[in-house]
Amino acid sequence: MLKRLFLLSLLAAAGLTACSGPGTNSAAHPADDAAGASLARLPYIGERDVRPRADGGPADTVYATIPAFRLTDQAGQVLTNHTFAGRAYVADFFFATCPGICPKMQGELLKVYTKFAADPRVTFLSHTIDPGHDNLPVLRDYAQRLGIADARRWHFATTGAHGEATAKDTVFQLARAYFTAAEPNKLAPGGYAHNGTLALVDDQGHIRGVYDSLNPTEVARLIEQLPVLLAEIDARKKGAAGR
Amino acid sequence: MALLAPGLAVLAACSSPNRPVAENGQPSPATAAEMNLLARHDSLMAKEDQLFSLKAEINASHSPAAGPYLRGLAAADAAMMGWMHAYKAPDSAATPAVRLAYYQQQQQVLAGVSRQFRATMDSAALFISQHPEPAAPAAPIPSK
Repeated sequence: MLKRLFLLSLLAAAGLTACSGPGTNSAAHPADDAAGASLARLPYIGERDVRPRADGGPADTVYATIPAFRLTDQAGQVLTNHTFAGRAYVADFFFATCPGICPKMQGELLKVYTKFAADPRVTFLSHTIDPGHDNLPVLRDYAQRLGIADARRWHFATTGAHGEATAKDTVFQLARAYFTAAEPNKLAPGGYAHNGTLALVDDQGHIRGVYDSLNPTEVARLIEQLPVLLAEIDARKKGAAGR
Repeated sequence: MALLAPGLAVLAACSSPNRPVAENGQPSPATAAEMNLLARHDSLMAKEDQLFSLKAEINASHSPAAGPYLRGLAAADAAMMGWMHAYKAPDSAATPAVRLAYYQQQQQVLAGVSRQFRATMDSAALFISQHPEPAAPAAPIPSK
């Protein structure tokens, strides 16, 4: 419960700081400033490391990124961090036989997907936390029942496509990485993999928003903030192309 | 969009803790029993994170005595997932009495899983406190 309250406080704080003006967290990527100086920015969420520069210039702030992963989706496609490089994605954790919050969580994520289904700049990634049961046919069936025909747009992925003995350990580590990265208090009780949280990840693997899928206001906030992130990514790409 | 409609219909048909409160404001006994059951399920699923954290800590201890504790945690996890895979909520055509009986019976099963979680996790936590993770080797002191 404490963790839940903390997460909700964090979500509220993220909402307050979202869309702040230029300069917010921009130290993370100084090279982006020229391209995105006039854009609203979502906050960078999670741990940060300040690294002095050898040339004596202003220190760089380096934000946590999603750790390296290797998954397989319902189409048998292997997914790594590289698969999502250069694009935003929304991530969550679920399992096919979940009788509790998962149906509602995936239903809310479906609303977000529906809004952005035709936008190739954003994809969706749902990780099963039951890799022993949710094999590729189960994931395919789950996707089909949700109405997702194109696995490239919404990946339902497993860490255990080849019967890996540590598949479940791996996906729980990954869940902690997604959501502890968004939460400084690591002593808070668990629930990372099953708390209904949606994470918005940018083109460089940074978490830029966390949203409670069980709260319609939070889901609306995700729908509102996704274009802000997409505009930032577009500006970054234009800036890189212009250099 | 047409493709999404069937999916939405399926989702709407799924059980959910936020579902079914009678229009007069009070859930029926069967619905209340279902909500209590799913609340216990969600609570146990939150503990799954802790279970896997404990497992990772025990593995990191590299203790030869870790086996029984790892097997205990694995058994608790298997019990939870086994319950989930076997759970089949009665359909809406079932009588209220049948639904209530099923949820009450499942509540008893899940109470057993809950006790198993508590016992194995308490044991694992005690083991970890007695077998802390070995400290990383200190950096060699440069010789003068």
